[in-house]
Order: sequence, then C-alpha cells, then structure tokens
Amino acid sequence: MKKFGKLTTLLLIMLLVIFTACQNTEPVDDPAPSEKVLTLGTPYTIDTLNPYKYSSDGDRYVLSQVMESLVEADGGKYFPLLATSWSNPDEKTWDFKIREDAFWHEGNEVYEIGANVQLKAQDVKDCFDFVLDPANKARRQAELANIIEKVEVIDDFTVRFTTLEPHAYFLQNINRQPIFSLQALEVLGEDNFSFYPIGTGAFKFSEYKPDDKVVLLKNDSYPITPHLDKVIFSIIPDKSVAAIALQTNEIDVAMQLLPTDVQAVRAVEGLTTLSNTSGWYRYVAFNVSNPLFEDKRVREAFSLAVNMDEAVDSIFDIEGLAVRAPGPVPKGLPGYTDAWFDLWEYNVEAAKNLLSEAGWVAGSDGILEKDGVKMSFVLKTPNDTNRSKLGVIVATQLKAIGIDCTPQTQEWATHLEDIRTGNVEMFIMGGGSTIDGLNYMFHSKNAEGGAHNTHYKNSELDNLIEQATRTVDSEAREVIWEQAARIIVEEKVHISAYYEYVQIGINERVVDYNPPNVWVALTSPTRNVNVK
Amino acid sequence: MRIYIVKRLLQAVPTLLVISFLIFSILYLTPGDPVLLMIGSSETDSVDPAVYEAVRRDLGLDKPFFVRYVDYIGNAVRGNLGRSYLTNKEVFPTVMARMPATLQLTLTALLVAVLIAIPLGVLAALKQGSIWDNIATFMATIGVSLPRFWFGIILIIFFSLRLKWLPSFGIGDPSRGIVVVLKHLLLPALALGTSLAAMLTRMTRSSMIDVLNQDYVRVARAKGLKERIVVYIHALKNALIPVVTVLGTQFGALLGGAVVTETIFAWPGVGRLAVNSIARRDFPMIQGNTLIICTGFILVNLIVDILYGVLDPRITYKKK
Amino acid sequence: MINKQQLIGEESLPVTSMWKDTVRRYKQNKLAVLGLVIITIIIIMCIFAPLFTAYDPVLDMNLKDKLLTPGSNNHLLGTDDYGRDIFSRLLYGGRTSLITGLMVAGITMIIGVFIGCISGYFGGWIDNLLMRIVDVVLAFPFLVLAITIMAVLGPSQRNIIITLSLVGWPSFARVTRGQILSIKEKEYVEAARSSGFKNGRIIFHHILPNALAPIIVTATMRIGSTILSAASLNFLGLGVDASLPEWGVMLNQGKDYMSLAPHLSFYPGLAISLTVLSMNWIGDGLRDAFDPQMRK
Repeated sequence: MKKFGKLTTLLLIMLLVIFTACQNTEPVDDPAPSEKVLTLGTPYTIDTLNPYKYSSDGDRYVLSQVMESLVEADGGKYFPLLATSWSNPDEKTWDFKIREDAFWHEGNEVYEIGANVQLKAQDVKDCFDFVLDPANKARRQAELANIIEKVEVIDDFTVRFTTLEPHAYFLQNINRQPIFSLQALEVLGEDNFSFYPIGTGAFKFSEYKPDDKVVLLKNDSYPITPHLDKVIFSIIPDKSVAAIALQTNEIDVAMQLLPTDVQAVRAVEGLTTLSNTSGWYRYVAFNVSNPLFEDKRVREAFSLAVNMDEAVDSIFDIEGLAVRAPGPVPKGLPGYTDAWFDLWEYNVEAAKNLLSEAGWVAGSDGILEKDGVKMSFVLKTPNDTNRSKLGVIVATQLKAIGIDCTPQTQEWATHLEDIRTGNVEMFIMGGGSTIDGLNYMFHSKNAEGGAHNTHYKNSELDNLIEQATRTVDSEAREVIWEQAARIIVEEKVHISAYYEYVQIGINERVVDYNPPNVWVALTSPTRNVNVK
Repeated sequence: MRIYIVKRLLQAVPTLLVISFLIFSILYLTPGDPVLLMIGSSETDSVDPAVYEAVRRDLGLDKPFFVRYVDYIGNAVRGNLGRSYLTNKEVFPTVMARMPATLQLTLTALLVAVLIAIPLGVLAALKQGSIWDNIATFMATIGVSLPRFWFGIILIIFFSLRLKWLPSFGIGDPSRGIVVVLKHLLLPALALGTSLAAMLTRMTRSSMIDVLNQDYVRVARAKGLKERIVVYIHALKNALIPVVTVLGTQFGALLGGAVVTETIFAWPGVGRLAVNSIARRDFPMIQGNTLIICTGFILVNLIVDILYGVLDPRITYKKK
Repeated sequence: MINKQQLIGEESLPVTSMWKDTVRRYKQNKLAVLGLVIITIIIIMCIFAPLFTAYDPVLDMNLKDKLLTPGSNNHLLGTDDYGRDIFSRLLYGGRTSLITGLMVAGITMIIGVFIGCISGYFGGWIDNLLMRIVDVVLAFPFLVLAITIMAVLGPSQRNIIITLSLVGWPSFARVTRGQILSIKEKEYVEAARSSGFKNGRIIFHHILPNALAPIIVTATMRIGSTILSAASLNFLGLGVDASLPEWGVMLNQGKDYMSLAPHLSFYPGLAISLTVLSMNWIGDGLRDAFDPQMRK
C-alpha cells in the first residue's frame, strides 16, 4: 500500500511543479520591451501569399501589408497608394502617376540589402500584362480582361490604362490587384514565390509558419516610417478563443468577435470594440426554379410569415452589431434606400390568405398541400453561428403556419456547391457587400453557377446592371442601382435579413486603427498604426 | 518474433491499398468541388468557365476515376504522394512537417491519461466502494460526458481567462524555452487526454477487479506473498492486457480528437491540416494525410500486439 | 435445453436457473439498482414528455423571452437562446439522444464482439483478414467518412446511427479479441475443446461469458460517447435538423453562452452525465451478476 502513497505524492509534486512554473511568469507572452509589436488574431487560414492567385480574406490581410496596389479603397472612396494621383482624360483612359520613392523590399534572395531597385511604370505594366495573360491563370484574369484593353508606359513614372468600355468600377478592380515583382517570380520560382511575398509596402515579409502565424517586419525605406516594428498575424480558428486571447493580452486585435463575446470584451478595462465600416448583407433566398417557389405569391407569403425584425433583434441583442436589411444593397452603399422598408410586412394572416389563394391548403397532417404535393423542404444554412440561428428562427416561424421547413446547417464547401449546382430549395447566404455587389449576385451571367444562384432570370434586371457599370456619373448610377435592387425586393427573390457589422475587438493601446478596415495597410498615406 | 513482425509489416501493404482506394472513392463521392473552392471561395466571386476548365485540367480532375487512382498509386509506390491543389507543395513533406506538433500533443495527452488513469483505476479496484472508488467513477463519467470542444473552452476560460496561468492558444516557440513550450502544451493535452483518461480508469478498475478475483492471485495471497508483490507483479501485469488494447485503439481516437483540439487551441498539427484540407477539398492532401496517419496507426497496433506477448506469455506468435 | 445446460455447465451449483441467479445477484448491488431506477425514470419522462411539460420543444419559440434563468416565468429550467423551454427540450431531446446512443452501442457491440470472437478464437488467416479490416476502419478519418456518408445518404437520425455504427465497432472487436486470446489458452477451454464441443458452443458458452467485463464497460461508455459524437457531427454542420431538440446539440448551443448563461449547457450536460453514470453502474452490476467468479 505504501507505494500508492508514493505514486500520489509523485503526481502531486508534478502538478505543483507545473503550477509553480506557470505562476511565476505573470504576463503570458512578453516580447522584447523596446520593440513595438502588433499581434492580430485572424480566424482565416492562409492558402497562399501569391499576389495573383490569392483567394481568401486571410491571404489578403497579409498581402495588403506587404504589397501595394495603385490605389487604396476604403468605404467606397479611393486614396493614393502606389499612385500619387490619377486622372481620367476621357471615359476610357486612366493615367496613373507612380510615386518616385517606391523600392522593392530588400534583404531577401531576390534583392540584397542596398540593391535599391525602384518600382517604375514598366513594372506596373509588366505586372498587369502578366495577370491578363490567360496562360498564367491569374485569379483576376477573366475579370480584368473584360475591362482592360491595354496598359502602356508613358514615362518612367506614368502608366496609362485603356478600358474596353467606360467603366464605373475601374478603380475598384485595379485596387484588388497588388503590384508584385516579376523578377522575384523569376528568381524564386512560383512555388517559393507563393510563400515569400516581396513588395513595396510598409512591412516586409519575415516568416510564415503554416496554421500558426505570419510575421512581418518594418520596412525602413518606406517613405512613411511605420510606427510598428513587427506585425504578427496569429491564426486562431475559434472566434471565442480569439476573444479570450484578446482579454489575456496575448493578441491586440481580434478580427471577428462573436455577438456573444462582445459584451465580455467591452467589459474589460483597456479593451474596446470597433465596428466594421460596411455592413455585410445576409439573406434568405429561394431557388425560384423549384416548382414550390415559382409562384411569386408563395415567396411573398413566406416573407409575410417571418418576423424578421424580431429575429434580427434576437440574434444580435447588442446595439450596432447588425441592422435589419430591407434589400440587397448594404446601407451606405450606392443604391440603398430606406424606402424599401415599405415593401416588407409581418402579417401571418395575410401570409395564410396568400398561400390559400395560391392553392396551398392544409392537408390531414396540418401541412400545406397543393395537387398532392406537400409544402415540405429543407432550408440550408452555412455553418456559422449567426446564420444558422437565423435558419432555425425562420424555419420555426414557417412551421407555425403549416409549412414543413427543416433547417439544416451544412459545411461551407457543401453549401457553396449546393447553391452553385442548384441542389437547394431555400437557402441562407451572404455577400455582394461591395459597391458592385448586385452585378455578382444577380446578373444572370454571373449568378449562374455562382455562390448566389437563385436561378432568377430577368433581362430587365440584367440591362439595368450593365447600364450601371457603364455609367461613370455616380449620381445617375446610384439611381440605376436602386431600380435594379428594387426588382429583387419586389419579386421577393430574397427575404432580406440583415446587414452585419463585424465587430473587431481591440486593445486600447493600439492607436490609429480606426476605421477598422482590415484590408487596408496598417501604414499608408491615410494611417499609421501604433501601439502604446 | 522477427518473422511475425515482418509478416505484419507486409500485411500492412494490402491494408493501405484498401484504405487508399476507399478514400479515393469516398472523395470522389463527396460533394464540394476543389476547383471552385480554389478559384472562387469567397462570397463575391464569379467564376470564369475557361479558367475553371484550365485549372481542372491542370489538376488532372478531368481524367476518369480509375486512371486517376492508378496514377496516384503508381506515384505513391515510388514515394510520391503528389502535390497539394492549393499550395502546390509536396504532400509528404508538408504532412511530416506537421507531425512533430501533433505527436507532441497526442503523446502528452496519452501520458497525462495514463498517469491519471492507472493509479486511479488500481486504487478504485483495491478499495472497491470507498471514496476513491467513487471519485474514480465520478471522474470517469464526467470525462466521457463532456465533448472535447466544450471541455477545451472551459479549460481556456478557467486557466487562461480567469487565473491567467496559461496561454489560451497556439504552440510555444521552442526558442523561448522549455517552460513556454510546456505551458502551451498543458491545456490542449488535458483537453485531449481527459476522455481517454476516463475510459482507461474504468478499464483498469474493472480489469483489476477481475484479475484480483482470479485463482492465481488468490493462490499467491494464500501463499502469504506480500500484498504489494501480489498487486504489482501478479495482478497489475495481467490487468493491463485489456488496457493496453484500448490504448492501441484509442491512439486512433486521439488523432481523431486532435482534429477538434487542434482547431480550438490553434495548434498547427496534422489534425488542423486535415480539417483545412477537407474544407477546401484538397484531395492529394487529404489522401496523403490519411495514408500517413494510417501507417502510423498500423505501427502502433503492431507494437500493441507485441506488447501483448510481453505482458502475457501465454500468447505466442509462433508460425502455425 | 435446460438439461443440456446443466450437463455441460462447468459449475455444479444448485439447480437454479442462470437468469434467476443473475437477477438475485444484481439486486444485491445497490448502485446498480439505483442506476436502473434513474435510467427508468429518464426513459419514462422522455417517452411521456407531453405529460410533464406543456411546451412544444420546437414551435414554442418566444424570441423575447430568451435566456431566462431557471424558475422564471413558468420555465422550470429556464429558456435557451431562442426563448424555448429548456426542460421540454431536455425531455423531447432525450428521445433522440437515447435512441441514438442505445442503438449505436448495441449495433457496434454485436458486430464488434462477433468479429472479435471469430478473430481471436480461430486466429490464423481469418484473424489476419479481420484485423486488417479493423485497421482500415479504425485508421479511417472519421471526419471524411462522416461528411461523405451524410452527404450520400442524406442527413437523418437513421443515417447518423448508421455512420456512427460503421465507424464504431472495431474497438469492440479489438477488446474482445484481446480477451479471447488470453482466455482461450486457459485450462477449462482446453478441456472443453478436448471434450469435442463445437467451436460455436465453446466461444459463446465458455469463453465469452468470461470476456464480458471489458466489453460491457466499453458498451456503457459508448452510449455517452455516441451522444457526444452525434453532437460533434452537428458541431461540424453535418447534423439533422438544427431546430430539433437533442442533448448533444443543446450542449453545443450552450458553448457560446458559457459565461452569459451557463444553464444552457449545464442541464444537457447533467442529463448526459446522469445517463452515462447510471449506465456505468448498470454495467458494473451486470458484469458482477453475470460473472460466476464473482460469487462469494
């Protein structure tokens, strides 16, 4: 029996050792004190750091620190970045003045320290020519080839783009393409190039540990000296864990907070939350090619049966996390109007009447029927907390009037493919939250096989969207967008749900981070983030 | 014995072939299109059919199923598990680069589980019906009633958020010393090891009770041998046989559990890689990952079977 | 039948039926009886859920009354984040969870024990073949398998049971095999073999009863772990109906409310623990009652 005493003591001693080891170091992570380090917690996996093949938001966060595009877009406005100024001499011509102090990052295999290789107009042209060449399979090839006719060098620091047609969103499209060094691609080879970004931005790439972190260092030769010495992107897939890491000062910024964590973060002294400047559009959609939902009256009835105001209030019970969406354009973007609210109503009786008018009557089991077909289907939702909650609420409210709707959460890849291939009846999705979002979501050319495929086809809508992208005058364009969006609202293709304002948790020692658009550079002509 | 080991290793070949075929066909049936996920996974993307076709051809996805499988096996036999669709990196080194993190986690979890379970189980068996027995049963029950992701979060809330003792996420940077590494390791290992500890405790307890009632133990006692010797030499050794079996099978479960644990604790191991590859339908990565894990698993089970022989001399592996 | 049993029985104890004996010994174990009582209560409450609660677990959603604390407004255990009554969801959810747990534990045990017995007893190439199959299934990544099966069969409770059964049986097979391996060399088995008994008889009458202990333990554990596996399928977005009550799902739901409203996950957690605990006690009781060597 004695031995058991020994074993237990041994265990106890081990535990003690572990705990004392833990206690004597209060701050959990402490870098060298003189260094100014910003640690950002991001939920996104890094797929690639290749500037012409990147796809996820996570990739873009990092790339926009290391590389620059010609212009910076922030909330629908454009700021100089690599280009100091630009002009639009005629509808199809864009001239950009490149800043004369842009040098490629040094201290790597491509550019040794002191190499002083300058980025010039020719580099910009080469870069775009590379992307436009279908052989290189750049991600934006098709998109840009539809817009750009040619790129020319005017002088060392002036580059001219000629578009095929007048294009209202030319700057937007240019902004999505970081300028990279073809020399780097050549020297490193594509495989290494994809994980060693070299650019002209305020931060130099230092290291990437897969699924762990990305480390960036200050670029001293950047015209504006960054306040930060080091930027670390810590990849934390679980958002609640990121919220905790923020509270324990392990990270300075949590890029996405769950609604349930917002209060806890705000309650901690020294922490605060910032709201993303633009709302993300979330909606419940019909596959209108499904016989159940071909009839507009059915879709209208569904929208009457769902108390969306209450649903949104309940999912986001803290002020400012989301607002009710009356239509497919986020509030604040061109085309949005409050007038759409008049087109929605919560009226269960009217919903029932409309359904019986459309021929749907309750069967013996209480479920609506028409010509022997039951109103029974699945509402597919992506696997994210807020949207799957929305799915449960909508389905429950529909069940209450005899509609057999099963809410089903599914994994993202499956969801995406189901929508694209039309293997859905009703679904919840989000997106199109950019200034040309309607184009992506509803132009029949883009919608088919796309992530927002409702199978809704309307040539009038297509025409309006095309017209809008060609209209350079912003006021006139806004009117056309509004007309296009109104068709969607009136036809009840979507039951628009809410615009979600992503909450960023941030330590107050971080300065100049607001407005919290994570896609823009931390140090740029518009801001220079610092830590106290 | 040597013949036995060689034979078992040879047998692993058809096993791996079957696994590779199964995984290949299953991935073939799985919904989700790797090409679409590669070139247009975000919500604001439209996909150009020409680019789509080009990428599809590049990845060889246009070829018929069997041609792809035969190609794959042909390469795999030569030690080439292909390249990731997403990163274009070679699969084998990518997976192996993640192995140390996962082994660090699973082995610590295993150690934690064994250190908790065996003393507790033996104690419970020796003092049946006592407070120790009840504590053991209670802990075992709690251990299996808590989902890993849930328990992981609880641990983080308690030890990181409230007590501020331990870091809440990530793997410790070895350059910052062993203490940092251990501190990062403790919570995930605990989260991962708990359910195994629970299972092992129960197993040890019941197996021990069984053995203590066997005739040879009674005989040993009757002969007046010291209780300690009876318990350790005679009983424990025999009681451990089913426990070791469970350990072998549970190693697979640990790797499976590592998937969840690694995601919660932002641990850059093989499980995370598997989850991400599945989410993006990175077929070569999923296949390679599976095959490598399976190989490891088969090896562990072989070791378990050999341990049987050591623990229980009545089992022989002579060629019949 | 009874006569034969007596003839071949390796024990020459009084001529009482084996079952009566077992029941008598089971009754002597207080915890085992308590476990049975608790499980019976849980099952009865779940079956007759409408008698115990007035709320519908799905349709009675009142978004304005969400996250009520236990006891308020006629909600015995409070409400969840949709304003649904937690008590009624526990009762109705128990139906789904218990059926899933019992079915999967039962199916995997039957398959696993059968294969383990054959494998361990006959050895040789049969053993090799079966163990390779076990290796395949055990080594197969659960996630991939689950995503595929659910996608191909379509999400439903039946398919969750099928999925979990398909991946769950090998641990039983290995445990059983391990036991058989060590038991089959024992004297009484040798004796039975030399007396010319058929293999089936030896396995199921002489070996298996002595190998039951770890099998029963594994099975009782399996019920709880099945409920949790079903929950992780939901966690991964492969579940059935997101609005249906189910213990594991409820526990998941509470994950984000750990500090805001801990009662959301406490009660389903308690329900699962209580079930597992009772099953363990029952398992212990059964083992002791079955096992002839435990007779004092």
